[in-house]
Amino acid sequence: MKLLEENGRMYGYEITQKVKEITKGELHITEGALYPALHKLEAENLLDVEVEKVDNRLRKYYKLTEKGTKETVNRLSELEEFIKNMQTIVNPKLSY
Amino acid sequence: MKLSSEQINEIEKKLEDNNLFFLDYKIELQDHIACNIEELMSKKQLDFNQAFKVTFKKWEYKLKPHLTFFISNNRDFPKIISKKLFTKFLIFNTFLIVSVCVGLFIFMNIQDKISNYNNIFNLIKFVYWVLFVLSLSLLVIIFKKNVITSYSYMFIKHFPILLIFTFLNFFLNSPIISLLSFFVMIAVVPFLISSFYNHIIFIKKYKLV
Repeated sequence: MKLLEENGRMYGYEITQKVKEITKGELHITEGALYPALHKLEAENLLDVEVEKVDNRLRKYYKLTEKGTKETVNRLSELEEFIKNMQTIVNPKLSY
Repeated sequence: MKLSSEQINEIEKKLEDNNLFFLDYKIELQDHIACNIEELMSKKQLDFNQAFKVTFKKWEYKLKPHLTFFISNNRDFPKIISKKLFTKFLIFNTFLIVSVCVGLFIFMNIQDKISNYNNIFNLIKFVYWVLFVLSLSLLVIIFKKNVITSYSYMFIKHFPILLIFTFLNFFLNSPIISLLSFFVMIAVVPFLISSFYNHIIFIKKYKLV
């Protein structure tokens, strides 16, 4: 969702490549994980889709809806909170 | 390096050979695989046939038939879609069994308490026929659109349940059959309407018809 917020609309393969690029190959999202997640977000009306003919085939682009944009902010702050809590558990001395 | 229409058709044929013909999965996977092949051709200097073999070797596991017995008795579906179909199948059949059990429970416990149960069962039969005609209309629309998605497949797979109870209702004038048909209808019709709705939304988004 963060990637879509920053890049506007993206298609599935583009998302996998962007994640690989940003994490320098450390994180690899498989198709089996990515597409079910995208379809679930689409079903929840957090993502909208556009279909275009590109390079002799149809391509499905995903983009955030208004609801999706708000939800991205919520989920990012939840993730930040989670990371802070994990850091507190792993390095309790640093939390003082 | 962009693939030609013929090369894209080859990818499509390979997916169909693996029984991946539902458009809601095929179109997206076809694009993903095509992008994969294009990347191999430009970065590793492979020709199309080599890149095609390497890519589909990577996809071999995901395209392997899986859990197909529960979804179809005459067709294998690849792993990448069979899990989702199986989940839908499981949810639907659980709901159907619970609904039929509720119907039987109601029949066994209230038949002596209702004096005009013939009128009630006639009303139930009428509602059943209205919903059957509605479901049949949706089936006709699906066939007319001539587009196959996982949604239309699930609709067509579960429609025969309604057909069976329609024949039973028609040939047997029995209160229990009427009541069971009604509870089967309560389970089946929302599922059919949801499948039909998703199928039509997909066709509209992809501007297929």
